[in-house]
Formats: sequence, structure tokens, C-alpha cells
Amino acid sequence: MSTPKPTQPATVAPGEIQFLDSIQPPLTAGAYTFEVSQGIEDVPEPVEPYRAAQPFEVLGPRFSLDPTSISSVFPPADQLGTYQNVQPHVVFTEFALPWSRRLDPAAGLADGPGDGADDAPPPWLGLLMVYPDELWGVTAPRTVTVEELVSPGPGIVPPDLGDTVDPTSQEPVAVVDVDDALFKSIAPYLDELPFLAHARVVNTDGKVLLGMAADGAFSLVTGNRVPMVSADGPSIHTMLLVSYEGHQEHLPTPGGSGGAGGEKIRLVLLGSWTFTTPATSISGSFLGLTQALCNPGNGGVGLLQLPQAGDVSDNAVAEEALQIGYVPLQKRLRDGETSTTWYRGPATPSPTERDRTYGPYHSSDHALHYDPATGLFDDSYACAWQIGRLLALSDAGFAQQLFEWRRDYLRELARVILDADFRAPMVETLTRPSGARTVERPGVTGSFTSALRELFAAMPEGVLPQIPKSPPRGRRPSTSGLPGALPSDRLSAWADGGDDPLDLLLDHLQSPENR
Amino acid sequence: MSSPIPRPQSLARMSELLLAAQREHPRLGARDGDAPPLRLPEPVLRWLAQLSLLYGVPFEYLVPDARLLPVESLRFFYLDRNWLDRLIDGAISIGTGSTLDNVFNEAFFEQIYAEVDLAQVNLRSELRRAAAPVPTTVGGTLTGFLFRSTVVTGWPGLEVRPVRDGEPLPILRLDPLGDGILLGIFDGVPDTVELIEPSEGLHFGVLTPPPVGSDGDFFVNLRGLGFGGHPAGQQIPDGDGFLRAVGGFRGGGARGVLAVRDLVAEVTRVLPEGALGPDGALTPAGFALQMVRGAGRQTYSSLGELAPCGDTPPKTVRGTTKETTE
Repeated sequence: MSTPKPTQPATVAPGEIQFLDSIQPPLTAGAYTFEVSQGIEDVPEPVEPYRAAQPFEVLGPRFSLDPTSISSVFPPADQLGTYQNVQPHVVFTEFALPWSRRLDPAAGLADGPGDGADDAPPPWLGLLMVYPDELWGVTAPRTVTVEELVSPGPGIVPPDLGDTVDPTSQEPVAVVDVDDALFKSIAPYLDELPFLAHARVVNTDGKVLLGMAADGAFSLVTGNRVPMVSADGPSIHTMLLVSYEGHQEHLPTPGGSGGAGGEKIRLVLLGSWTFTTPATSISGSFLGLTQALCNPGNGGVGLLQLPQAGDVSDNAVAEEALQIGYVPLQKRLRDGETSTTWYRGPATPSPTERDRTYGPYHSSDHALHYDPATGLFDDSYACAWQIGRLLALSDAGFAQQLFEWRRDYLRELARVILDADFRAPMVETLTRPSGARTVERPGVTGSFTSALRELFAAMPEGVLPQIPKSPPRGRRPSTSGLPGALPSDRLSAWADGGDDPLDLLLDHLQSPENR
Repeated sequence: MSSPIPRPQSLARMSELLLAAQREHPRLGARDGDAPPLRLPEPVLRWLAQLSLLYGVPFEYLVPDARLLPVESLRFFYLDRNWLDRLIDGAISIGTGSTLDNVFNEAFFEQIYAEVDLAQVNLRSELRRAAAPVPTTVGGTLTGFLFRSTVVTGWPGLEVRPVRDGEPLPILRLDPLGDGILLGIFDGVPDTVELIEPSEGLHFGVLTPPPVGSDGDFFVNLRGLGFGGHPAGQQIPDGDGFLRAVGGFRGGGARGVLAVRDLVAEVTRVLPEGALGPDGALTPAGFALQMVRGAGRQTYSSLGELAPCGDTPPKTVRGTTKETTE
């Protein structure tokens, strides 16, 4: 198991968890002093020893916790779940946190490991679970000053922190006041405290191990109470992570004595969370319920098929249909007639063979089956088709993406066809070097012109009229007939004259020969 | 959309190419045919894969008759791939404006099925942001179960473990359908399906009900501490079950408060000779180890020839925890 007082995490094999009683820091939190003295001996006149003192303080969390020091809590915060019989716990990333401070601040500070003072030192913090019907006994958490913590007023018992705090300190601290009777009934006994904290060292070997993903040493504080269940509805449990420092005399003792002796006890609140257990409609354990499936009145375990209510052995069709998972349903035909039809969902009690010899189906009626021997329809696949279509239509994003994908693909295909059937042979023919102007098609030799002629002759019917025609340069109409075109002599006149070209153009267009 | 809407006279040619593309799956290797390779866009593929795992399919179409799935029942099934293919057919049938679109579907439906089969296997790991499994076979038999029980409501993190020949099968889908009904789909035909109580990580607690005849409120299965021949972390067998320590709640006022000191004493008393180690005393770590709570595990065997209730009751394996301590 573990040595009684380990002071540092040991090495743990991959996939293993080591449980430790405690991980004690070399020095617990508190004020310390180094004292040095140097004496000189064997001198004629005695010399007063030189002395020096250096006070120092070991700091540790006391009135608040850094939230990052909490690794996880269980049951998880704000969760609903069947947590009956679960002992709640908090996992701290600071592996020595529960033992970093003495429960009794007046007991003096540890000299270091191995001083033999305590074999199992009690942790200074603990978890209290408050049931929903006990919240009357707990005040809402509020922030006070340390001064108000140690002198809270009549009827409220403060922690006995002695001279380890400045009684006038204005440092803020979160507290709850718990009814003394309630505290006595739910708080652990002093000698139970050590059993409510331990440390563990985890080597997950890179895999999530029992919900733990992080390696290293952690400390844990567990509660001493299990959640309740109520028939009336869900029960919200409040978990309080409190400091017992200075409360060692106020913890309950067996036999009902002990307690603080006031009306309320003031506790430093280091954290809190809630979780919920459902109403007791769920009775019994997981195993009990899963084993009860086969009890009379329950559905049992089996394949997904209709129970045979009557004897159908005289009807081979019905018997087989029921065996392979079909359900007879009433169907309203389009002409108003009602008929019985077979239906089977995607979940069948017997394996089916995938049939791809026929497909795809283009409409739901396409997938309708009709058995002329019995006059019965089988609507299964027609239903599936229709559901697939309706779901696709109901998702506009999918519908658009599918449509665009298909359109883009068909466009690309059209381009490929254009390239393959027309552009490529054309380019090949036209760019062939002049020395090799022979068309390499069987039976065709000759000049470029004959090659072109051959090419066009080989075009699929209907392609030729689509080829855009460009008239030869010689047949292009002359620019002289264009009204906006200026004769060259007038252009040069304009270039020399420096008139506004727009005026020139206007004059030209309005001139009689252009009317 | 002005640009090259395919001209009618090339339809025959396009159909010919589409059918050629269908013959050679472009993802299986380079092809030198004329048709461009078919690549389903990722969102479309994922949508179709979800559809093929029955996402969105109304419950009434899965279970058309209430007698198929009575209260407190577990029903196993095979998935009919033809039915799933018809779902895909219906989905890709939308927006078919012309014969060409129909020809397209006709040319590529098998390829689309094949891609969906592959995506279907990876869907769950994608949703869970886990590494995709390496599918050994794609498009094989899919099976599953419907579980209607208060267990589904009460144990939301219920784990399911389908096993075939000792090897776990991939779970393609595991989702509650409404209140108290759980749907699971597996890739392959399991011979054993285990329902495992959610372990929620390593946690502590007690077990109920207490053994008959004891006056306690709960019990704890005791584990070895690594001494006296009892391996650390393993429950100590005792007859048919495990060695138990019975504990009670503290009296007086509050409910549910564990009588820790009595429990410590009882565990110390019940543990066999030598199991506590040389000190002979239970330490906080030893106590914590006793309080570690294992998960319940219910096994249902043999999907193929599942006996109806009564003939052979399902085997039960009580949960054992896997923690080890040294």
C-alpha cells in the first residue's frame, strides 16, 4: 500500500493508481523563525554568542481557494443523476492541500517530515452535504471580514484561530453559519476526519483511465454522507467545502455530545456546488432493473418483432411475415378504398441481403411492392423513400448543396464533352506543324484544307451549325458606311485645330450627308 | 444561370459518360476516362450518413406498433440496408428537374451508397471528435437495439459494449430517442452486448440493499490491499460473491450520514488475516480503496439465437473495478 508518511509522489506504473494516506508538506502553513547562534570557545574572556533571528512565513490557502487548484468534483456540479449511495468528493491539483495546515492552529507547527507527531494528521478541510430540506439550517454564503469571522456576535461560534490571525484584519472571507444541531448531525467526528481525505498518484499512460485524463499526484477530500431520494420530486443537494481549522473542539463526538455550544457555528466556506438526484420513480439498482426485464409484466429481451397474439400457423404468409418483422397496417388508397398493407421499418428481426440489382428509385410509388397472390401491398420501401425525400426537403441547406453539387458536376461534364469531342481534335489539327500536315486518321492524307474538311465532315450531326462563323477579313464591311467614323482628313484637321472633339463629332453627325 | 446548360443533343453522350464513370469508381484509383471524378461534398456526405443511421426518421417508422417495444424491454434488430438505400434514394431525388438529373442519379447511386457506407462508419467518431476507426469492412451488416426502460432515464451515461469473439464492435450510433428509449446501432453482429452502469470515473460510495438478515443500511465489497496474498484493488472473493463489510448510518437526526468510524472498525474486523499489512490497521488510503465503487454490468448474449425470456435468463456479471494499487 503506502508508507505511513510519504512526502513526495512516488513513481507509478502506467495505467495504475496509487492511493496514499496523505502527502505532507515539509512545513505546514504558518509563521516560523530561523534562529542562528554562534559561540566562541577557548578564549580567555567569555564572549556573548552572536545571535540572529529571521522570521518567515509559509503561506498556504486559508480563507479562500484558488479555483484552479480544484481539479474536479463529483457528483459533477449542476448535474442530474442517480447518485444515491455515492460519497461526494473533490479532487485537488495541489497534492498536499488537505494537510498543508494544522487543524488546531495552536498545536504548534510540524518540524518537518518524520517528526512522529501524528501518524495520520487530520485534514483541515472537509465536505458537508446539505439535503434540500435542511437548508433552513444554513445561511446563504456571504463575505465578511476576518474580524467578523473571529468575533461574529452572540450565539455564533467562531473558529478558534488563536493568535494566528490579526483579530482586526479586514481581509475578506466567505462564510456560512450552520445551525449547531444540524452541524452536529452531519459533520464528521474528529477521529473520522483522516479517513475523509487521501491522495492518489495516477499514471494514465496517455489514455483516459476511469475518467481521469491528467497524470500526477492529486489530493482528495470525500464527504461523509450519501444523497437522498424523494418521492416528491428531484432533490437538489448543496455541497459545502468548508475549513475545519480551529473547529477541532466543535466537531461532534459519538453519543451526541460535543458541538460548539452556541446556536450556530461559523464556517469558512472555500467552495460550494449543487447537484440533483431524480425522484424515486427509479427504484432499485442498475443491476436489479436490468435483470428485471424478464419479470412478468415487463417486456423482456428479444428480437424486434410482433408477438403472435393468435395462432397463425394455418396461414403461411402471415406466419412468415410476422417472423421477419412485418406489421399489418391499414392503408388508405388514393381512390378512398381502405386496404391492409404490410410495413416493416429499417429494424428487422432477421438479416436481409442488400439488393442492388435494381435502383435507384425515382418515386415512392416506384418502390411500392404488390403481391398479386395475396392482393397485399408492401409499403416499407415506399415509406423509406418518402421519409428520405421529406427530410432532404426539410433541410434547405442540404437541398441546396445537393442541387449545386449535381449542377456543377453536370456543367463540368458538359465542358469535358466539349473538350473531348470538339476542341481537342480541332486544336490538334490546326496546330500541327506545316511539315507534317497529314491527318493521322486512317485513309485521309492531304493538305491542311483537306484535313479541315475531313474534320468537319467527321463532326457529329448537329454540331456544325453550332460553330460560330467569322467572315473572312476581305468580306468585312468597309468603315466608310459607318456614320460615326470620321474621314482621315477631318481627323487630322481636328488634331491640328484643337477644337473640342465632342463638338466635332456632333457637327459630323448632324451634317446633311449623315441625315 | 446562363452558362453551359447541356444541350439536348449531347444528353445521350452524357448518359454514356455517366454510366462509364459509374463503372469505374474514381476514388479507387486513377482512371483515364472522360468523366470528371465524382466527389460528394463533405456536408452532403455527412448529412446522408446521418440519414443512413436513421437520424431524423420518425420513431413511428422505426417501431410501427407499440407491441414491438413494450415497457421494460430490450429488442435487438438487424438494419435492413435496402430500407436505408431507399432513404438515400428519396433524399437524392429532390431537385431532379430534368431527365438528365435522373440519369445522374441512375449513374451514381451505387457510388453514393458506397461513400455513405464509409462516412457512416466514421460519423460517430467525428461527432465525438475522436480519431476515426480504421474500418476493416465497409457496408457490412449493421445491427442494433432499442432499449425501453427506466434505466435509460435513471442512468443517462449508460455505456453499451457490443462484443464479437471477444473483440468490441464499433458503435455507430447511441442516442436516447425521447423519454426512456435508447437506440444503439453497431457495425457488425455482436454475440454479446453488455450494458454497463456509467462509471463516471473513479468515485466512492456504498452498495445497497444490505444483505438479508443484517441490521446495517448498506455494504461495501472489500478489496485487497496488496498484503496477505490479496492483490491490491481486487475484490476478495468469498463463496459465490465477494467479501463484504456491512455498515450503517449514524443515528440521531440526520439521514444518510455514514458512520465512518464504525465502518472502519467493521472493515478492519472483516478483512482476512494479514490483509491489512504489517501495521494491522486500516489507513485512510486503505479505507478509500474499500469505498471505491465499481460499475454494474449486465450482459446479454447471442444476438443470433437469443432465447426468449424464461428459457435462459441473461447472464449476469457483477462489476469489478479495474483500479490497481501497488
